[in-house]
Amino acid sequence: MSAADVPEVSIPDAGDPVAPESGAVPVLDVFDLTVGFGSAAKRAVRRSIPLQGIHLQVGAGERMALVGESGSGKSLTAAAVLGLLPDGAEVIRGSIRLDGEELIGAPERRLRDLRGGRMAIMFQNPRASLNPVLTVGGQIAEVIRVHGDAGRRESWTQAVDLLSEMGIPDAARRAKDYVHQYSGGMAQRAALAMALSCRPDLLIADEPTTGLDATLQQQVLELVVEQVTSRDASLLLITHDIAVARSHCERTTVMYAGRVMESGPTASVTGSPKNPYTSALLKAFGTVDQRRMYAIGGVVPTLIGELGECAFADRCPLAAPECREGVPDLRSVGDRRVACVKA
Amino acid sequence: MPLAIYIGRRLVFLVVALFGVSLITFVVTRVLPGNPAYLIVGVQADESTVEAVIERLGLDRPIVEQYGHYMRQLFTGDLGDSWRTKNPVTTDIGVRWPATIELASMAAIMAVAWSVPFGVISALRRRSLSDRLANVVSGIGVSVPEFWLGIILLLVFAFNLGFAPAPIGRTLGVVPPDVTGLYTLDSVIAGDWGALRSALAQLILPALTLAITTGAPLLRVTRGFMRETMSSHHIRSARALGIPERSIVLRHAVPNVLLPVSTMAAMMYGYLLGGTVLVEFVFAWPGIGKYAIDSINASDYAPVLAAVLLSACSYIIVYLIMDILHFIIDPRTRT
Amino acid sequence: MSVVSPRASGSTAPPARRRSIAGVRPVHLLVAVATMVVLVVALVWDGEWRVLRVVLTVLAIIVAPAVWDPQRRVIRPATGVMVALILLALIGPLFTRDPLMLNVGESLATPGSDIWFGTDQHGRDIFARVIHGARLDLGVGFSAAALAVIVGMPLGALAVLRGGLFDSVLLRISESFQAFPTLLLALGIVAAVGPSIPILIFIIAIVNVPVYLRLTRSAVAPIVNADFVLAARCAGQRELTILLRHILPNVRQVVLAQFSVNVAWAIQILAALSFVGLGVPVPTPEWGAMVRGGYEQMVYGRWWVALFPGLAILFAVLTLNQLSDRVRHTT
Repeated sequence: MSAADVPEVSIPDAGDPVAPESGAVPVLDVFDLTVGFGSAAKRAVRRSIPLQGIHLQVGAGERMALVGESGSGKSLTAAAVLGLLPDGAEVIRGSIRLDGEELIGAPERRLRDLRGGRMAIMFQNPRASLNPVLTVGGQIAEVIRVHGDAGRRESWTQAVDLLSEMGIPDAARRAKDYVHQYSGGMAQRAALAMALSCRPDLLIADEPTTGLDATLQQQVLELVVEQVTSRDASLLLITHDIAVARSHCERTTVMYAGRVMESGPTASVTGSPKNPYTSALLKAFGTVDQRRMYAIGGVVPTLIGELGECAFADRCPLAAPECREGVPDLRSVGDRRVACVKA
Repeated sequence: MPLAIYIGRRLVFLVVALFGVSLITFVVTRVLPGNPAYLIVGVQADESTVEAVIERLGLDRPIVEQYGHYMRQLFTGDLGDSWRTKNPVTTDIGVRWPATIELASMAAIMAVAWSVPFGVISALRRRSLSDRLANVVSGIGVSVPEFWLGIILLLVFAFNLGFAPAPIGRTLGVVPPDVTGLYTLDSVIAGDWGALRSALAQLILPALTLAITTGAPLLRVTRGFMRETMSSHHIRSARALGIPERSIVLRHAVPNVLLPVSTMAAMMYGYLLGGTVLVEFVFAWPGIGKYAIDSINASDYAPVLAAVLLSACSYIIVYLIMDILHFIIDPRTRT
Repeated sequence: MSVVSPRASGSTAPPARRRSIAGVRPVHLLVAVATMVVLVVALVWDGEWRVLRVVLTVLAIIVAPAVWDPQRRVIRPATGVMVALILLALIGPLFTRDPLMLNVGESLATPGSDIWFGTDQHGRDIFARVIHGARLDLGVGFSAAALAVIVGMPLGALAVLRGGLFDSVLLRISESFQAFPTLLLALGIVAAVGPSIPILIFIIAIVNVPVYLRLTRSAVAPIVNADFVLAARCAGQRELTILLRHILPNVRQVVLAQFSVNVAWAIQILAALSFVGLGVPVPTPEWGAMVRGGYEQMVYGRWWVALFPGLAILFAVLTLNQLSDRVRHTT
């Protein structure tokens, strides 16, 4: 990985053996990403820092889950990758590389070509993310036209093909429909078709199944995984449900309060968590056998100013004085990386 | 829902609304203090005329019966007579209604032409120059009294700069052959460009006055809907898939905005059909509004009631037409 | 303010805001004193329109505390201007010349250093008339809007609570009302009844009642079945208590914003009625009537007669509209 270009922050294990297919350039490489809200003119302590020092790598053809509670910064990370941070938010430092190309500071034109072209996203609430007054097929065809040199007719045919690949019956007819005529599951299939229309290297799926019923969730997730795999694309699956991560992704990154807490192969992260937060999250989801429902005590810290301590220290059952001495580094421990002094 | 059923339901609403309107105008004349007979024939009328009117309107009979009588008159198109002009009110209105329609239509076209594009542009970037300008313009446009604005425009453009003619009605003598009653349209039909120029010159200032005051709220509404749309999920989605900004605005956002905005514009037009009173008065525009005011000042009440009734009905009908058009256009109502 | 403390304690509470003792800030005392002064002045001074004066005074007292924004610790500009306008309408007339005094020798004087806004065709001081007009226009505007709220809001709430036939009949009537162009309807009624100040207030209020009815209705409808209302009902509270304590406070914001707009409308309707000669009786200083007087002078290039009263309407209405925007956007 390319840590050497950004000297001011170092992680101890820059060339670490855990990195996927070491030597190969990862599809997505987020390094020390720190995002601030509010103007820099405000006193530094008043400025909110919703993302602090995010490290995240997704290798080619890999499926990575980004897990965390709501408000942990998962979606904001995705927005930063796409270069679509909300008004008032800005990247303070760090780097985001897509296939080795730096995105931070890249011109808007270039970013627009990459969005939908080499990286694509599907959001939760698929019916709201399709335009109500344009036909579904028309919207997909437009994405195809914008990123390639296909004409109107050609892009329409491709759009219809994509829809039928995603399992929409009678696609030629349904492509002319509007989103309100689609069911939730079908709308999500259409959103997937639109996201995959230009064969991106990276698909970001932001809570793609929230709002769908349980059986549909499974279907849609399986479809996403299947389509991503068949296209040799990488997947960054954002979810709050660690069970989803476990069944669909080979690697998992756990986020909390705008930090990465633990990252590594899903089996080991969920099987033998090394960060107390990961354990707590697993317990809360009831994946660990127990009688009573487990709730993590306390609340997520407010994100005003950069933290000078472990973000989970207030709620952590293992908290010790050394947890408050500084932000724990994301260290390499065995087959993964953990940000905990106790690990 | 099939179109026919939809239209049927709207028509039922229409009947209910028209019934309500007739009830209100009836109540206004009969329940308010004062003898309605005097309102209708005027205070100067002699005893026998008053007696005749009381007889004709059945004012000595029970109120419910009176209402029935009133409704019968309405259905036969009898709105009474104007003793000022000595004509049946329906005849007078027939002559003046095109003038009001022409003014209201021109004003509506001008209002939409400036406010909707401005609203769309000003919504794109918060605190941009166009956004601030939109704030100022719409703030003043909403607040300015239109009769005063008309006077100021007259002062500046007619009396000081001499760009526009003095407010003496619809045309400077050249009346095109009557087809629609709208002078501008008739001149075009007749191919009489001199008459068209004259008619437009007379029309421009009153229409501009109304376009400024009615365009301002339309600007606000457009900007509001546009802002909302631009921050919606599907726009975020389109951005995230690399759709260029031009297409985001024109293809993805604007059509979403035009549906609600067109409803507002229709409401505005419906309102304008009865809301040109003050401007007609200022510019001596011989429409329904001026007819109403002139009649009031002569204590001639039947034309006033007729004007009130007419504008309420036209509002309801314009709104109905818009509603039905929406049903046809909006993909969400199609199945 | 410490950055660490709320976090270290793990509490959700926002950092405590600096407060003076017992929650009383110096500005509150200032406002209290100021309103007392206004009240005394307004009651001692003997003008023509007693009711309007009382309305304006009450309003000044209600609005004055809202001038101060305790969170950002600044004066709210729109509210500030509004209070200044009300005070001007209340106290201003004490310091101007007689707005009714005819002075044929000085008719149509151009604005200058001693006669700020010039004089009209009868030699009356336009500045004095504009200031006196403020009292009348604002007074009528507020009274009419207040009357409309007092009638419309309970009706709207009642329509939701009763529901059924009562609701739909009321709704149909108010819908039919809204088909009428406000001004033409007001014209029609005034023409039938004859103009006078109380009647004008009444008529402007009537044509605005449906607005509040529908507004309250749409604001109350989603609340009526809210959990806290059900809870209150289960606790055995009376319907009236529920309405007053639980429901109406929740629609206050919308109604307040609408109220401000409505005062502006009322002023515009009054001015328009007077402009066409159906408003206040002739010599009374009223903005719309003054614009009418100036209309005839416009042809001769005497712009000041119509300009200043028109600007006064624009300014008052603009302020009220701005105020409404502020209220709507500060929840």
